[in-house]
Amino acid sequence: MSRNKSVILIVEDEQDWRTLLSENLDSYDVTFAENYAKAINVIKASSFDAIILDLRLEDRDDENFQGMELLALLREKEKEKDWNTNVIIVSAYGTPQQVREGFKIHCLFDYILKQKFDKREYREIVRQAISNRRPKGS
Amino acid sequence: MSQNRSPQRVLLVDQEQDWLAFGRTALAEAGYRVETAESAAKALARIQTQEFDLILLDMKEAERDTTTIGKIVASQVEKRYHVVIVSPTDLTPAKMRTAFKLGAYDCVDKQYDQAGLCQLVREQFAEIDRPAPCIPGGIES
Repeated sequence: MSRNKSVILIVEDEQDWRTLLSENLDSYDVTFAENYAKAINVIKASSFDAIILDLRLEDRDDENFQGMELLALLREKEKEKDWNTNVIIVSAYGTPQQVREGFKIHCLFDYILKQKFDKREYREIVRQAISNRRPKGS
Repeated sequence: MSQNRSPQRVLLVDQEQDWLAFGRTALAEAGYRVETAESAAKALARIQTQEFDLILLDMKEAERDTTTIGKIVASQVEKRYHVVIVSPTDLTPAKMRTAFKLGAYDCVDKQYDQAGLCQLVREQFAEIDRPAPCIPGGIES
């Protein structure tokens, strides 16, 4: 994997959405995680310049939104000085309170509703997420 | 971010004169120092000459004048106030996202009774005295 390119992790269980979210992101190296468990392992093992996260993944039986739990893990990693990854949620299921929690507590970079997905806007958000990272060590 | 100043200073920003009058009375009776502004531009002018701890900003005004709102939220850290957007209609994920991308510290339902408004303000001041986990993102210039 070339480190000259920025590296993006896309956490999404639906193939169609993985395709859509990775389209026209040729200038980045893209890694996919199709479920919660793989996302955890990948995040622990690697660093990313941006993470695009679906709020609900299908590999858990409970009604909780696993994406919010993953956000909490990312929030813990945020405390590490060499972690400066911006997180973008892409979801069809979020509530206003989850959006609020995402921005206020988990330092979310952006929240995209699947029902209003716009490719050009999405690519611009990804670009901003990578260019607006805080410096490492701060 | 904010130190306890007594009394705590609130700026209400809203096009609705009736709500401004209600809010001023309700919060003054609760012991806050209250100023009002009918627009984002007037709010910005007040901020440049007066100090505030909390700014409650109506969502409609925020969406109407994003440029001025950007200037107001950009000074949150420097001038040590928090901007909270209050929504007069049911909050949706999209509206919540808009508020935080504008740079607000928080976004909550607008209140139309004294008890609700005072509780909203109390809760925001309780948060102000705790370290904020995230810095508002704001609009990319």
